[in-house]
Amino acid sequence: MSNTIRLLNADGTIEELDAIEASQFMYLDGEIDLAQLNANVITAGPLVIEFNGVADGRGFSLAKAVQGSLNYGGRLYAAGFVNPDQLSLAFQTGFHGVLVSDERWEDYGSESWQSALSPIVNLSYAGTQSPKLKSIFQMRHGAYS
Amino acid sequence: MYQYDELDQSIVEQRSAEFRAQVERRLAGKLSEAEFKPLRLMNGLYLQLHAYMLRVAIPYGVLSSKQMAMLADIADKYDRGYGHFTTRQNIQYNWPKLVETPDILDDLASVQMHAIQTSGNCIRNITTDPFAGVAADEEIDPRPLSELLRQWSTLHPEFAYLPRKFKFAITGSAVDRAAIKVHDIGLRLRRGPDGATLTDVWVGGGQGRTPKVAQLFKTGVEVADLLPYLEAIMRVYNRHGRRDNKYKARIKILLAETGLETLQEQVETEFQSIDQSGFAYVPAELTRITESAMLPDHARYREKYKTQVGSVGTSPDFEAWKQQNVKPHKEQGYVIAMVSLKPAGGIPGDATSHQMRELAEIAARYSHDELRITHRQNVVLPHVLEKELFKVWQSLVEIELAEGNIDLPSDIIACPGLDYCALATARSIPIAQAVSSKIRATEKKVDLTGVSVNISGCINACAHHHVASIGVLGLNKGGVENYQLTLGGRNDQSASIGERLGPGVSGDEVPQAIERIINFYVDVRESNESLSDAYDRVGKEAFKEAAYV
Amino acid sequence: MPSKTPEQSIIIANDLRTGRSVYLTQDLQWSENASDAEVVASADAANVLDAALNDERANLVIDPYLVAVESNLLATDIRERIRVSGPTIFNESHVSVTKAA
Repeated sequence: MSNTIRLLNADGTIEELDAIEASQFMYLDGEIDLAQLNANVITAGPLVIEFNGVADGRGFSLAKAVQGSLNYGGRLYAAGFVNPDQLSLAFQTGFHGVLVSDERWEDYGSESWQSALSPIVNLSYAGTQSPKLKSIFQMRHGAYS
Repeated sequence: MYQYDELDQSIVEQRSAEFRAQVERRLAGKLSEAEFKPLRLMNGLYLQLHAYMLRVAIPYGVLSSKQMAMLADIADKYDRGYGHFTTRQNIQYNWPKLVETPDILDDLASVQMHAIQTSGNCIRNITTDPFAGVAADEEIDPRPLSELLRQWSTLHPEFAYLPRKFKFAITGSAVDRAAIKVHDIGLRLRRGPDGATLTDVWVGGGQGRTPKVAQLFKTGVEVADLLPYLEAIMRVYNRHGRRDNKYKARIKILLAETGLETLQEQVETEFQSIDQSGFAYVPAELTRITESAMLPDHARYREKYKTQVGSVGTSPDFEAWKQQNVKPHKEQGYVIAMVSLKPAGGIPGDATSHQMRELAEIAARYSHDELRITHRQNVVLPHVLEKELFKVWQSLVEIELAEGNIDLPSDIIACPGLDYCALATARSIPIAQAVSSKIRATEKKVDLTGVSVNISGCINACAHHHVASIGVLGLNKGGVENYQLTLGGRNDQSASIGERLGPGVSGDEVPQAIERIINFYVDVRESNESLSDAYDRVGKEAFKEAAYV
Repeated sequence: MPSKTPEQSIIIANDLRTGRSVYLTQDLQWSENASDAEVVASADAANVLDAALNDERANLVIDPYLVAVESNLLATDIRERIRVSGPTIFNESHVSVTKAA
């Protein structure tokens, strides 16, 4: 098996990265306590938040927190246990893309990943990063973010 | 009541289509049960003892006649002709098929309903005072904020995989009919000095195996700050709540382990760093919701019916029902009529499709098309003209729903228990049936208003036994059902957790034990003293001696 | 699942499509009727359960497991007894009202 890592972008595109390329990113464990983290170590990115289990949603809140209290404004990716049904959650919580290993790509099958990039539910009440997901509050009351 | 616009409508339709695709993938073997389970749970579909169970959301307990009629149709078309109303103001169907569930969701979507987030580790259905907007003693109608919270929490991307389920309740009255202090977050709306709405935020209440009364977490949050503040609490909980043990994963445990002050500081820090501009829609959205005709034009209808002779006739049964089931309304000429789903010997919270359909019709005729579901598993007709009350009662008699026992001991909360539930350790419905049959005669002779009996079939406490005057908890002891009794619980503004009275008893012994407790209470009570107050005064030993023979 | 294999047991699961409780029959089919269940002796239990687990992997049923039964074929545990025989409650008011309709 090759060591390709696929980057599934919020705009629906897929890039193939090799392992060396992906190893240049800065990785944050989804369980990290932000209070212990020196904000200065976070550079221009890309920053990758690793999810430790399919039912573990800490990464979604960590994403909001690094963008909030740490003021991180660079590229933000999710990695690890993110499944196709969670892609749109990642894009709505500020991730620009999701890194998928060969193994997980095969596990779920390319069809599942591809269709998750064009989700049936393309509306959300709250704000979103993805051009494919529209915010209802925004549509009702105009741009606010 | 709030009406969906086309965006709200799109979201429930899309969600239904999404679930249909997920079911197809499951049936085709592309999703394993392990992968599918969280997806079906997020759409309210459980697998129980005998079949799937679908829990349908009734946001803050409000239903239109059309919606109630659809719930009846679904019961007939896809289930066995009945439904079970729950303590989260929802309805459950006990026999749906997986292959038909997408069709049920489509039918629900056609009347602005869904089953989103009625299960799973996410924010569950928001509950509120069943008399919201019409209670004579209300300070602030909590429904506009309930609707805002419904929208904010629906499919909230950040909070779909929390450590555990999360429950909100809201009230705008000093008398708490929404049990806000036994919720993960309870919100008490009140007027500030300048008349503006302020919210006191209570955190960390809950029942289950570690019952806790919520603590006052923050007072006087302004409306514009409320969603960002709640989002800050949720974010801290999502990141720091325990995930190693599901019995320690609720926010009440995080609060206990972290300490109130530290958790308040963490939330405050998070709140300060939240991008407030992301919530700039709140004032406009609240105005939009409030202006969406949340209440009927009572004055106009009062005028329209002013020449009508109205309610003629009375009877002792009607008067007894009225005494117990009718509550004061804030509008002159109107009353709130409560429909008990607790006939003596019946299954608490169950209604047949015929009863649901007739209730829809009664609400259409006499209650401005509106019904409410209470967390005590009853139905409310919130806008009844007093002069039409007798006709309402006659209609209820015809469908066997005129039991006048609201707030009496036979108004029992019971979970489905071991007759349906895969988690249960003992049956609760047959116990409830036996207790209500036995106690109904007594309560017709002696005023027992306020004495509550709640029966849970396991430690998860779905029937809120911890906060009942008399709580019953069904356990399994060496393969045999065994029932513990707790006394002294309260679910109102002075919430308290009941205390275990003594050793468990068999199911057969529960009705007699409860009767003995009630008789003892009647003997010792001082004027207007509740059972829990009497228990606190007289003490456990005296009640224990009375209960066990 | 019981920790030690009972002397006699039947295999119960939920049908994936309907969710109904189903029982493994002698010819390795699934029946909604408990009286069709094959009574498995402890020596055969592991093999028969394997066959049932194959059907779980084939997405026919969910969570098959062995239920201990007594000689009269009643499950020994109350939970399993209710699971096999259905809810123990019967709401007469449901029936009378429905009939009236």
